[in-house]
Amino acid sequence: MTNYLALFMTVSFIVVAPLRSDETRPPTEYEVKAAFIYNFARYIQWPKESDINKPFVIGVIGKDPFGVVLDDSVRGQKVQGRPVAIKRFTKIDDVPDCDILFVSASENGHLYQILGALRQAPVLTIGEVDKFAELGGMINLTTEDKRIRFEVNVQAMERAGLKAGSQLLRLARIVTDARSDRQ
Amino acid sequence: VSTHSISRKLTRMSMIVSASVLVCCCAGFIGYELFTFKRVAVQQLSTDADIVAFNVTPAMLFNDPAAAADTLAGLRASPTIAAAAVYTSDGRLFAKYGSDPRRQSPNLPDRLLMTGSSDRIEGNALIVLRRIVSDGKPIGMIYIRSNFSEISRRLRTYALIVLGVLAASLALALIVSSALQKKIAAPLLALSDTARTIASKHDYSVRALTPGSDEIATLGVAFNEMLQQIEEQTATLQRAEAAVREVNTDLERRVLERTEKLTIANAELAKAEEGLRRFFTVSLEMLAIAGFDGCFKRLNPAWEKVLGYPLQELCDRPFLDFVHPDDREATTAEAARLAEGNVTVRFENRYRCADGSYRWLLWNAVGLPEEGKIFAAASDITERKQLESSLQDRATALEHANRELESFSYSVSHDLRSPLRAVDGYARIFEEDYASSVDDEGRRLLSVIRGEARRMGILIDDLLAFSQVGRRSLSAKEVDLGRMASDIIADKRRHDPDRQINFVARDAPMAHADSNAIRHVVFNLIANAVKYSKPEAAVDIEFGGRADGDHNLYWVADHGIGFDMRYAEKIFGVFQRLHTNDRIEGSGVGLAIVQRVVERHGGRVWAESEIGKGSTFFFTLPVAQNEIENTEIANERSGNPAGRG
Repeated sequence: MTNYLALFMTVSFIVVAPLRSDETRPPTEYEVKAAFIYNFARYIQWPKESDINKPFVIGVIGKDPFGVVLDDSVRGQKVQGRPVAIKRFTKIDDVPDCDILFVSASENGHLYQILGALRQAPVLTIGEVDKFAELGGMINLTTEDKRIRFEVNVQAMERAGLKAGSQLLRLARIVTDARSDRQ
Repeated sequence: VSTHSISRKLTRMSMIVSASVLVCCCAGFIGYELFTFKRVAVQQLSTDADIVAFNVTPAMLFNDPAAAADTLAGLRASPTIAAAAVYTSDGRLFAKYGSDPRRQSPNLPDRLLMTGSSDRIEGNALIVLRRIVSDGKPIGMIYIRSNFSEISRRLRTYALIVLGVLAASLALALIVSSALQKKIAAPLLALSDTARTIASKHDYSVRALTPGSDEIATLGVAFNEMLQQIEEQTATLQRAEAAVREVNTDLERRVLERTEKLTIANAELAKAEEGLRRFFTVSLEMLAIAGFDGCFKRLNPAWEKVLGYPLQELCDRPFLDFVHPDDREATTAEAARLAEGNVTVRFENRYRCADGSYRWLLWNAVGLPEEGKIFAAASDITERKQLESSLQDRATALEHANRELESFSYSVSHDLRSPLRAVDGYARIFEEDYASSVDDEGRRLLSVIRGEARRMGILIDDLLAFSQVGRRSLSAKEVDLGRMASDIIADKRRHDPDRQINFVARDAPMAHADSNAIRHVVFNLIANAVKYSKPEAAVDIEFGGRADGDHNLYWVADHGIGFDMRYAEKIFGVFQRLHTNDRIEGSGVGLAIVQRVVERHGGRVWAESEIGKGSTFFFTLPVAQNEIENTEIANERSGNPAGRG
């Protein structure tokens, strides 16, 4: 009996130890953001897509701050039953059919252009700069007390035909379009 | 006293019955409640945990502990939930509700992290642990702790209700049973009072009063009937007792008489036994009682005299020890036969004497299997055995001598023939060649020589025939002696045509004999009749026979010269001739042959005669075939097949 117990403990240690050592390292900012992007997809409803084999495309426009982190966090995952693909763009004109578009901070100067281009397209726009949501972006990732929070512009989403789940909204800070943009 | 005892018993019985039924019911209720309450509580708490897990998932995904705490605070609606907490997948506390005094560390122990979802009871609390799963991946754990205080409260209420119901039921049972027991006990009391009255006063005329129609009333009626019967029986008994006393007196008298008779009979028996014992003691025969275990149980003193052992020694060892080794097998077999209840007659064996010699014993015995005993009487026949043995030796010697004698006479007769033939031959040559050389007297002497030589030849032939009759073996079959006699007569007539022979053959039974041998008998008897007939007269011969028991009797009668009956035995001897008449030829062997053949067949021969009137020769032959053979063997044994001739 004691032998079995010893064996069990040894095995537990071997199995658990690497997991714990990996997890004790606090995740980096972009690891958290990558997870957020992926998780948003689960609480947001897109207009119905007929082709289930068509990849669920997450695009990154501008300078990619994720490195391989985004690719790692979605590898082998499915969103709404569809395989996930990561694509990177430099210009908004290059952006084809895309389900989520992460707008890099490097594109701060092109926000009007980018958001304008996607104004009514069913593309979830995610940004990480101040006023991104007020300017018509749908979700803006912010940092509060060293924690990543997010803002949601429900109007922008409704415009594009996307619906955010109430559970998601409960966690978000809701923002509306800035007055200047409303005109 | 009995009154109380019965009513108390009835009351106690109904109390015990109702109490046990109630206790069983309450135990069942409480058990069921305990069981279902736990199950329902676990189920409810599980559901709560699942709902919380679902609601807290986005907060965890988006790392919002405040939102999670908010969600947990919703558990306030369930008053039994004392504490709840959400942990990340690595066990760190994410959000909590309420407080758990038993927890030292805010984080979830590894032990529980490994266990995953579980329900368990810890002291007064029910704890439910659920994994929070999102998109197929565990992202954390939820922990809810519910106080059990409600269970204890409910159980207390139950116990109070049960006690109340129990007390009320028992009180009710007591009232009902005391009311009912009166109905049963009262008639029983009356009955028992009556019985006690009867028991103390022996007054069987009292009757019990038993109104109603239930079993107790029936019992009362039966009791009354029983009293009636007892009353009648007592009277009958008293009468019977008087009769018995009378009979007893008579019996005692008769027993006395019988005892007296028995005493006398016993004394007589003892006397008879004493007499038998005396016989036992004085008997020259050896008397013994043996057990089936192979040992003698009782022996008379003759044993000691014959064998020389003390009687005790003979009884101490199995009797087989004393038996000659060669006789043991037969003795064992005989004892086994006796053990089956058979009777032994004339069994012989040898017993060893104290001096080492053996004595022959001849036994008669009877076995009694039901008593397990053998009663045996034995005679010491050693002397007789010795005599028999010496007799046997002598008979053997005699037979041997006889055989030698016979072969001697045979060879003598045989060897005598050739010199005799030479004598006759030379005498004839002399007579033929030198007849002219001798005178008349010489020739007469020569013819005498030749005549005597011839006579001697006949004598030798007869002797050989006689000896052969004794030696040849016999093969018996059916022979018609009358026909045989007729043939012989015909032969005689042919040889001697001048002689007139009158022959009469009476009816005679068929003989069972060796035909060649029996022919000698018939031939010799007829030849004798012809030979000893009156000279110059006709010969009258009669042959006859008849059955006579197990033998056939035959005879040959003539009217010849006869003989003196004084010599009736002598005539059957060899060379015995009563008539030394030269005119009558004969060797004197014929009748000896007759006697020998008849005796070898197991028959007898004799003659009756009167001088001048004639003779009758009788002989008998056994009827059965076997007897001839047996007789032959007997004759061979006795060593004297030639009979007494």
